Amino acid sequence: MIHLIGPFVLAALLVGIGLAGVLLRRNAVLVLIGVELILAGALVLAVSISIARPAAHAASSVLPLFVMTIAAAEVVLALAVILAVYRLRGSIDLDTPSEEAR
Amino acid sequence: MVLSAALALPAMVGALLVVFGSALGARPSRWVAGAAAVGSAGLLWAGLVRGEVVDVLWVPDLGLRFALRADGYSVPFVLLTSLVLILVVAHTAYEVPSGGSAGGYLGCVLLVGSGALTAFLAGDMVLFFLAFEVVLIPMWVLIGRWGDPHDLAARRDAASRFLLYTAVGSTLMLVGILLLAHRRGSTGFAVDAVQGTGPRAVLIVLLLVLGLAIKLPVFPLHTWLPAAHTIAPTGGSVLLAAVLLKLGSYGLIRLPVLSAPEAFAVIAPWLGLAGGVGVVWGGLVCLAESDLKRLIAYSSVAHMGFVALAVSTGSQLGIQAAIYSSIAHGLIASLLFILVGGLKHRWGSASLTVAREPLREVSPRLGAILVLGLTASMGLPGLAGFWGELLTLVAAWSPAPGRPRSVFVASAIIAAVGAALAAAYVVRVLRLVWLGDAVAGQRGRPIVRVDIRGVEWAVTAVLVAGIVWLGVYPYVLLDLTVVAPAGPAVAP
Amino acid sequence: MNSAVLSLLPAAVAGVGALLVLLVDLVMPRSQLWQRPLGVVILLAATATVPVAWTIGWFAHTDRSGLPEILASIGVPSPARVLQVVALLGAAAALILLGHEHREAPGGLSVAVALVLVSAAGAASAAASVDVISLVVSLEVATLPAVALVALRGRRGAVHASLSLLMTSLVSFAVTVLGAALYLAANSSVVLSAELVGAGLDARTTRPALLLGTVLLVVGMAFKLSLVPFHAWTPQAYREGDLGVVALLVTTSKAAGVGGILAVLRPFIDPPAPFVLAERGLVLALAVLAVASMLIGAVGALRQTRPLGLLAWSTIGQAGWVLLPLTALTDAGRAAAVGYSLAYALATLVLLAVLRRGRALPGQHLSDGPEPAFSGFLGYVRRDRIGGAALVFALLVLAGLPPGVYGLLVKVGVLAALTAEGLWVLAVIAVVGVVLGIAAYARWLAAALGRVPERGAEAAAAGRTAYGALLVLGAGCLLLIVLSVWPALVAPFLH
Repeated sequence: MIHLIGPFVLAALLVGIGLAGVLLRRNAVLVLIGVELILAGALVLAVSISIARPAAHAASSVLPLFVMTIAAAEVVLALAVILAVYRLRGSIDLDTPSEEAR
Repeated sequence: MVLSAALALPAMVGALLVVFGSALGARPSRWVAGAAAVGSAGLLWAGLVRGEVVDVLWVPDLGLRFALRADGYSVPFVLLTSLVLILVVAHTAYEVPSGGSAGGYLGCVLLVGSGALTAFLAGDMVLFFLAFEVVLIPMWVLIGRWGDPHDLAARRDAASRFLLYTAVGSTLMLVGILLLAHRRGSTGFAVDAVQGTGPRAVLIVLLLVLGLAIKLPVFPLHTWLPAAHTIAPTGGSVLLAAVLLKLGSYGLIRLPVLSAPEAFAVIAPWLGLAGGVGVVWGGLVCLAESDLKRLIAYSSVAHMGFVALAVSTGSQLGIQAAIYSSIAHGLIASLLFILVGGLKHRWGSASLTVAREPLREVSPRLGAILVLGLTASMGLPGLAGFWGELLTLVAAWSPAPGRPRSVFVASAIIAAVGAALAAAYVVRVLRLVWLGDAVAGQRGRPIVRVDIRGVEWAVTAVLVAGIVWLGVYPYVLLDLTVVAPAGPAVAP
Repeated sequence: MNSAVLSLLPAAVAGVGALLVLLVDLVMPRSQLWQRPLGVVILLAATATVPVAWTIGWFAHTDRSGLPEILASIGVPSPARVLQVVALLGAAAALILLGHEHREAPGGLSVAVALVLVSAAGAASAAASVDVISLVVSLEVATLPAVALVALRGRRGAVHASLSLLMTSLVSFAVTVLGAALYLAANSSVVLSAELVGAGLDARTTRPALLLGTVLLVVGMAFKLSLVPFHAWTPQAYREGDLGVVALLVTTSKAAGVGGILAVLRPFIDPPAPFVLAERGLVLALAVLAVASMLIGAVGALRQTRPLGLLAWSTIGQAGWVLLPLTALTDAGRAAAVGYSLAYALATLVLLAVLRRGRALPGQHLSDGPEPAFSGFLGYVRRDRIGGAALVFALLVLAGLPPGVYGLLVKVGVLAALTAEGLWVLAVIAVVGVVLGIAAYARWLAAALGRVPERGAEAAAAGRTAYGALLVLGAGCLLLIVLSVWPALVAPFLH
């Protein structure tokens, strides 16, 4: 299965970069992008597996469809909340505590 | 049915009094509580005479049965609890501690009594644990709410110490019980004992002993007791000494000693040694203690040291000695706490450093009873305390086979030294309180005669009668406990 | 109708109900009175379908030949039914406890009620799911409305809390999807079945992917359950969320998370063959999560001075308690976990209802600011008999002390499940958790039972009664009392 190494490496890279973004960045939008990268890596893995395992074909097509739909909904909600936070606070840094919360 | 009713009656009445007690006056709630306590005692008597046994599957998932039964080991504790419950309720006619309504106070007292009775009658280990826990919250409220009104911080500290120590102890015991139940395939008491001294069996016994040693309490784990005793109201102290500590000694006999005798033998020397050291430690602290109530609390530590030593011998005589010491201590400590509570009520504090008119002059009856209680506490022959200590020393001299005799003999010698210390501190207290430093009528103050009478007199008289009876005629109790109960055989 | 489709009935009723609420809102956009009753009725109807669908006889073993794999794989094993009921009834309680400020929020009450219904639908379906795709989808459907509800409150703190809740939920979503993809890669199937996992663990090539996938799925659930170290969002969301939203988080979201983790672990709990080696690593991972949550949650709760802070941290600790029996990987452990979740959800709901009731009564010193400190509850038992009794009872259930017998019995169940599998080390560590928990709850308890401050004594009966809170409080206490006396009532449904 030499030809699967490419997709697998791509998936691993995407997940790794995404994970680094989630862990290292405190800017909400950058974290959001990190999450999207992890998702993309997972989906690459899911799609490419059907080449090696024909039995998984149906599931490996359905999983990305659902995940993409939900991810789209989440991005909408996330951007709405981030906008609201920016309007109220002028910053979208995740570590800045809000004064009211203290 | 009768036994269940005997337990449900104080529980129900107690719960109702806790919720609606403040609407009811002090007198009506005392009558209601008294009726519940006496009714419960009557029902218990009927149930015990008929030899009733209750056994209903309660929690199928855990195999937990609501099983009640009585045998020679539990009956003394049940009777003691019943008696003390009635006396504590009656004693409120003399004094209701400040901090809340009398109804709430009596409700908590009844709940403690009901939980303790359930624990002594339980035929299932997990039910024993549950009943053990039932006692916890009402007692916590008694200490925290009705405790010594002078010092809020000390009251909080004592109450939470009591709660947390006991919770640690009971949860450790629960883990031990569950391991034991898994090993035996049943949560009932009346199953074959676990044989062998494998690491798992020793672990089970270690957990059980540790948990119960906190409750008893055994020497290094006793630090919650003096604080709780000092702060608790008189009735609460009596319940602590006569009922809650007895849960510890009863549990020690019922769980590790009878359920896993061989594994218990591995730990027993340590327990015996801790008991002996506890006797001396308690005595030494008593020699220097300046608060009378705290002094009696430490003397409780010493007495419970004897119980620990007796239990650890593992012999039939040792178990009898442990039960005898426990019952005797229940009566004597109840008497002393009632007396000291009365003195605190009269004096405003229980400090020994303040020079006061001697009791001999001011209140001769109270003084005489105090002399009797303290000498019983130090183990004077002819009074209840003597037999417990004597039997313990005899049992320690020849422990059950498989135990290092030298350790037990050493512990017995240590404990005997401690008992001698008891004589010293009793004499010290009597000199200070009964004989008195200050001569009556000195400094121009008139002698105020505030002797005990009425309810206080009746309550103490009952306890004195019990102490003398057990002291003169020890076979009442020894005959009851000589027959090993149905169930696991005890090492001879 | 096919029997497998029926298994989605509770979720479908709740989901369609959400649409219905939005449709009615189109017709009468002004009125704010009908949403809550309608939502509660819909949720009760959805709850009623749980036993209906059960009697029709669908669960995991139904013949589903000829169905698409995804649809076929949804079935309801027994403990999941209890979780479905918790999720749906908890959402109903959340609707009742929802604060009035949601009327002024964008979209009004209709949007809030619809969001609660959608969340309940997601949780009901998450508890029922037996494949990773439906699990991922339903969990997000259950979580996202909660994020929106926190944000809709509109205050600065609330929006910030919703941001951290959202980020946590996004990361957990990504981790879960990654776990799902690995699971799919290892097994060539998304169905969480013991046979597949057994085969996957046997093959050398698929084993690492399968174990990694399972652990990632567990971690994803750990976010939802607010287990340490994935708990950071919890205190903020509880503090800033409305009481109704908190009720939704402690019941519906929790049921979804527990249902999810049960689904992930199901292949390991009902195995056709023992997979000893793999289990050891999994048990260790679960044990670390459980113990860390239990202890850190309890210590955090000890440091709190306000009820909602205490509830938030105690949620973390209690989540550890829910996970703890699952380390045994047995049926008894699963029953203990579900029983524990039930006790926790009921007791916390009662506490939230008491808080709502306390706020509705003026002159109770509870209305100073959004969260009263414990000192505001001094002598509460005297001032409000019903609320005070319920408060004490619920706290004792959470602490696991009689008279909250059910709370104690579920703790005994947890420890029994551990000791039966020889995990006595965990049981002994749990002793520390018990005591820390008692210490944490005792502070609120001591305040409520304490002596009444002079100035508050007379204000007792004044003010309007919050009937909704009374209803939740009464129903919760009644259930807990019934379960304390007769725990065998739910026991058959936990296995």
